[in-house]
Amino acid sequence: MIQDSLWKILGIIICVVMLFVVPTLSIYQRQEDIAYNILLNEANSFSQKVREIGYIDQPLLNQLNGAISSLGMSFEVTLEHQVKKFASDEGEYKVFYEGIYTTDIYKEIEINKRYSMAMGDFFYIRIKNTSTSAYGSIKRMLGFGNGTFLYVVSGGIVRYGNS
Amino acid sequence: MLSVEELSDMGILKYGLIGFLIFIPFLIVGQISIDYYKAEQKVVRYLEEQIEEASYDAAFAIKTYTKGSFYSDNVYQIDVDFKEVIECFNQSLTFRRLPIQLEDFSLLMMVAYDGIIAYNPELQRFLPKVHYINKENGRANYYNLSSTYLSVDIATGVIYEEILLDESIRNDLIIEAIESVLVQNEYLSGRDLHIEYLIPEVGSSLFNEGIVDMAFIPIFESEAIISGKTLALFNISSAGVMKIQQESIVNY
Repeated sequence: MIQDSLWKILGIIICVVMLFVVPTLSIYQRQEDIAYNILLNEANSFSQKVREIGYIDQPLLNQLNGAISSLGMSFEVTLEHQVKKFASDEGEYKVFYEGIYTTDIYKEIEINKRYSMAMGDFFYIRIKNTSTSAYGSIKRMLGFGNGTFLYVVSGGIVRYGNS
Repeated sequence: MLSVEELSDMGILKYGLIGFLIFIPFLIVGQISIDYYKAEQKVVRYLEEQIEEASYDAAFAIKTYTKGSFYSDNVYQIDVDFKEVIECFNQSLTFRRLPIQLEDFSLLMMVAYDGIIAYNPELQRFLPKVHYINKENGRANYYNLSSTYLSVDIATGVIYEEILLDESIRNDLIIEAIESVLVQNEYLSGRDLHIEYLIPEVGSSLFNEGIVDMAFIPIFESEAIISGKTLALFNISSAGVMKIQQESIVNY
């Protein structure tokens, strides 16, 4: 009698897991894949635009922030500008790169409305999630995984700008 | 219709559950394999994309780091600072913070305006430039990535500028130059790179396939990064402001 009840309870638990938990996990996992693809597209689009025009301004940043905030999570955006410089060493010119990062870039945009780059410099954008996604929360609740990690990098050489 | 009590009396529920519990580990193992494969493919795709982007940067550098042109050895040479181009590719990879270094590439080929030049990262040396040349009817023809070519009369040394009527001749010469570079590399490094590739298709009214712009070709094989699998990559990346997506198929 008790044995039959235990089997029934086990059957109910398995039904609940198969009917509710597994599909929910699957949907949230797919949502997260979609979020990653959107994030990657936005990062690529932003870095392409910036590298083709040679500057960053507030409207571009607003457009990027608007697109990624629609994903329902909070993200940390890091901008990196590697400025190409020359130094002479015993009559020979050597190339080195000096990095300018997010805070300084934002400061420049606030003051001068625009942050300009030169052709030959490198520009990168890195976007990382700072809040846990729905999929990450469920995984943590079920006891496997510490949440998920969305991280995209995009960038390259600046193709237009002050020479 | 049987009730649950009647079913359980028959033991169907019990044995059904036992069967399902036996089946669960196989389900879990299958799901883990799928997830692992998906994650691996994601990493591979990411690496390929980043290398491709770095190639675009290098191809752009080929186009913009031209120092001038000069006539030497019966050939018009376009002087490009190829060392800077390799350095640009290296920096582009470094700034992306990838677990890849220049030495992970077997060969880096640069399709320049007037010929192909290759760099072997392991040996840290440039191979001699291979021009797009053919000889016929007493003339040496020097092709380049434009719609004209120089034809030199071997007997008299007179140089004529002709209009390129058939793009396929130049495409064939570019392929021959690539083959020649691979042979040179094999001779120098002692390694034979077995690569099959297709020249990419280009959407144009003039011709259907060919290399139309300066390009950077990284030949990359990595075993250490993705648990024993090789990433053989032969992407022809165009230079210039308008990025043209061109991909070729590689079997290694």
